[in-house]
Amino acid sequence: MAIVIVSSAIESARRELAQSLAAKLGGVCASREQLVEQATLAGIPVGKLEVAVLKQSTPRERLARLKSRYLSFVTSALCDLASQHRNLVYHGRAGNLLLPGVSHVIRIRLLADNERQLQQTMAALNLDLDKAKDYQRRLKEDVARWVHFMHGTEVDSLNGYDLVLNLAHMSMESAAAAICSMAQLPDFNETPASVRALGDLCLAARARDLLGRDERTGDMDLGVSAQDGRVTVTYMPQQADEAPAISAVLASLQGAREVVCTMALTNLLWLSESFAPDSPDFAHVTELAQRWGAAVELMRLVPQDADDQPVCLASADELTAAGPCRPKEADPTGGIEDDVESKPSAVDGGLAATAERLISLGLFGGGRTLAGGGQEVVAAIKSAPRYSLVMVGDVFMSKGPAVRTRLSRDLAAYVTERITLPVMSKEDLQAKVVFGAKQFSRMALYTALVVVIYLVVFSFQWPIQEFLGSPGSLAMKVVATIAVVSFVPLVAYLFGNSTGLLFKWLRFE
Amino acid sequence: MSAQLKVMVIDDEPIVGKRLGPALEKMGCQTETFVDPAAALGRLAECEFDVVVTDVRMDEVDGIGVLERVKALSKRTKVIMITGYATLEVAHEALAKGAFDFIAKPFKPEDLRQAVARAAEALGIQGPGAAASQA
Repeated sequence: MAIVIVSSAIESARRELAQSLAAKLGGVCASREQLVEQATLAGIPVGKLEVAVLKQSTPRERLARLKSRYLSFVTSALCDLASQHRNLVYHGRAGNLLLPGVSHVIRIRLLADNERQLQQTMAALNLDLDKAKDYQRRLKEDVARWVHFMHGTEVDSLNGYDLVLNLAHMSMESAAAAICSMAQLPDFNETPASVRALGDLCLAARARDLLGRDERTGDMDLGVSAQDGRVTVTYMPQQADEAPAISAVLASLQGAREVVCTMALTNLLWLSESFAPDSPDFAHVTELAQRWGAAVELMRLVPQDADDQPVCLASADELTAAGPCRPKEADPTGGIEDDVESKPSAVDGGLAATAERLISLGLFGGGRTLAGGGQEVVAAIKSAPRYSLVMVGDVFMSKGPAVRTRLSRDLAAYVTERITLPVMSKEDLQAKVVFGAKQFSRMALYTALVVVIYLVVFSFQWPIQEFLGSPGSLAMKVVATIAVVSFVPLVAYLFGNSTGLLFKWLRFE
Repeated sequence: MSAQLKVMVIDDEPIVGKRLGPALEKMGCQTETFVDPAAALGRLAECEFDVVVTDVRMDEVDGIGVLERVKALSKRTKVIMITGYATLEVAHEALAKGAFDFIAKPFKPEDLRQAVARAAEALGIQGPGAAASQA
């Protein structure tokens, strides 16, 4: 059985190669365009994703969920095709990223012959040379943006490809023949491990697809994985009331040995006035969350009199109680939503963009805006006592640096006194997770000092023993005692720091 | 320049015209809706419209065909494409052929009103349509 995935930004080139290859292999040919069509018919408005890339819209939480639904649908559909046909050739923009970790999938990157493509574009779209060139350039740029948006990787990255074919240097026929030969290699034969990996990938994708389609679970941020036929769904603590719906929806999942629903073990609460997914704070928080297997909940703290309208990103109220599977209803509006005057979007301090990135990382635990100060924060935390850490980020941004630092410290102290949870400042968190050149130098220094002390002690055992144990005067005994009392804590301090930094370097909690 | 923006809406699903017509009239546009693209093209030959809003996928004449015909008849007319099957390829083809904007379904009428207002601005029309949408 061969599964070949051909990736290229130019649809006509990959289609031609995939069709030729499918004919040679005696298999079926499927395209991204067909799956997009099926996804749209299934109620996933993929066009919104495409136009978001075209217009370079700000990522929103809704788009992040849509992206996840689309990827689950496509993976699930590909798996269905692979199970129905002995040989499958799929072509798409970045298809190589769709079935990761399956060793019997052959991933081909196709570089189109630009001159030939230009001529084809001019003929097919009835464009003059300049417009055709402009069309190709803009399309390639947008496909690159799309790959980055959908998969978080660069389109030019060759990681994950088994072969790159340049059609400027070979014919389509030769390219198809080369891939056909490659498919016969033992490296791309099915193995029990690769079949199991594909099965688990498919099972997880089908589960995600089912959950995404159901109105009760469609808006939940769930982590779904499968191993050896056992599907594990992790939900966020604030979704505990809606969790029974997960099992109800997945009751119809075929091929699952067992479905386990677990609540995310812990939540980190990130309290800040503004968020930025590209900031060092974001990197530190997500690094810690990934280490702990925790979700990150965002709480945007704004002054009581701020003009910003409160924003709530995770509305559990929209979800209904458990019951039989309820697919979302078909759209009777022709794609035109109700005519409600949309208010200018509230300034959200980067909340939506950060939520979108957290959703992509599978770490989003909810987000909201809270107007007020320490009292309101404590009340909010007490109303949902499921956090294991509170991180106080950038707050009181309208104040000067000195006042801001003092108020931030006061806020952290106020919260610490009233809740039984650890509260960290961004500096504390940085010290906990960052391991840079400075920390490496300190570790090297402490380790070197410990090594030198041990070498000295073991090299000069007799003189040391004589110094400590010889029956000398009282003054000598006092000196020896002082030496031991000072030396032992010094060694402990150096050794402790050295090993502590080593563990931090190894990311060992 | 006319103060009232003349807008044509073409979509083979009647519900689209029923929902978009009033939504555009709300901003002061003079709107004509068509479910048959051939009839719409006939009307375009008779009368110049400021903005044409057309679906991409239709049976007889598709949205790209409508776009090409509109541009052949009147270079100044702005064409806004709407579709539930938006892809980068189709969007760039439409933009290369002179489409003014491209909107993916499902969308809110307000999204279209904003696109129409931008089109009016590009045409230099400061009519009630443009004013209403900017309010």
